[in-house]
Amino acid sequence: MKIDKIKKINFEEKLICYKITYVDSNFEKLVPLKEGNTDYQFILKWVADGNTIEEAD
Amino acid sequence: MALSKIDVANMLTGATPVANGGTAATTLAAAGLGKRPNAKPIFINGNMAVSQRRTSTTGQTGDGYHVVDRMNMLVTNCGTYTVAQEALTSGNAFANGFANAFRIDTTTADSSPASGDILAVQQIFEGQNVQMFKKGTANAEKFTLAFWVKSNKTGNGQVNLFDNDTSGNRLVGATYSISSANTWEHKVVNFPADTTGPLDDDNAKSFIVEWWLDSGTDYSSGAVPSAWEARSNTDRNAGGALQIARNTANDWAITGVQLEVGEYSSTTLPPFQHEDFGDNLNRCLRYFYRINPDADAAASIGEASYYSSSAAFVCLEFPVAMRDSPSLEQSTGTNYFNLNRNSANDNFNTFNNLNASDHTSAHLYISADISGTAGHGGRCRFENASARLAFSSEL
Repeated sequence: MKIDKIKKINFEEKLICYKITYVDSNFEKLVPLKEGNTDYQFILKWVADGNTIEEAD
Repeated sequence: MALSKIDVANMLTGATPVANGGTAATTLAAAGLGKRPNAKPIFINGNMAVSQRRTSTTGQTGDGYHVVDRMNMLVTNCGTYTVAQEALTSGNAFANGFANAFRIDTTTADSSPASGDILAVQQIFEGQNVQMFKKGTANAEKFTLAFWVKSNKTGNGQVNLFDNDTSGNRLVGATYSISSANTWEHKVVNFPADTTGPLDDDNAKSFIVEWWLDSGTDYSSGAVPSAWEARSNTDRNAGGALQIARNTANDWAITGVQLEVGEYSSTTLPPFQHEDFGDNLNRCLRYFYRINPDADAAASIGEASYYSSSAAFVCLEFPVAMRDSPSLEQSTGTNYFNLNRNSANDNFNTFNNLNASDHTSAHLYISADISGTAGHGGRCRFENASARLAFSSEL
């Protein structure tokens, strides 16, 4: 699946997780800010590759 | 090998027990049973019985744990696939106790993969679960990988062991030969010990078993690494000739996978360690936990409490401790979920936040489409059979 966007999710104005959404899909992931989580590792690489995380609402 | 009676006297003296009426070849040691350092199978879900996500999916073009638990597929610009948990009802694998297999069918071919294209299947291991191989020490053990395989293609396939911890990574490989098309064949593959590069004793990605099914020349222009080496990608499919991606007539299936400490042949290989389904499932739950795998439209998710008049938490404890703090995976849609409280119902579309997650529990936060009274409790459940909710801590 191709990533549509990755967005910051805040709780009480503090970053609490990321949301990954995909193109043409209702499937999504909420990713904790934990180094051992492979989705979190993917997000770090995705950013290192030049992509940008969308700010929280 | 059937053991009708064990000579207990031998056990008391410390001698190797011998099957009553058997020959020297039927001793437990000869069968490998006395040598296993592992109480449970090292390769998880080797009988392919657990498939929490689904039993079949079509149109797969990318990486992922698409169907059978713990079986990861690597696809990089290399065709389109139906991936399935295949129910077996005949054949040699079925006759040896395996009722399920992991299977891929090529549905859109890549007749000429570009140099960097990949088609492979793998299982990834935590370092703390493979310490018994003593890799990177003077006492390093050899590896034996055994499995049942079936394909419409005959010829050699390559399977590798991959050390993900050592700087630059390390690799060893071997080929297995499929002799007869569309026939389950049992393969036993030996790999040497590696006295270089210990595997980290942690819960991270340390060690990989990878079957290569097709690739471009970036992964096939080298030579099969029969000895452990610093990773050279050109060696990873150098001996693979199955070329599963290149025709829509192609398929490949595997089951009965066992990874053993030491060197065994087809005659000395210890029996496959069949677990009951519950034990097998529990080991898979460490990496992936799907709530409501039967897709019941009204199945329970958990107890909820209102944090405010328009937001609520659902607090969940996982059935087993997961490998690490998991991601929440969900399929969302109009009125996919429901919160029932104070004789009223609120349907909602999605969980908005994963809060205070660790490897044993998580709080799911709902902040849209609901209304209630702060402090009130309720129950949260599915409202639509298409809704999916799972926690993933895969490697």
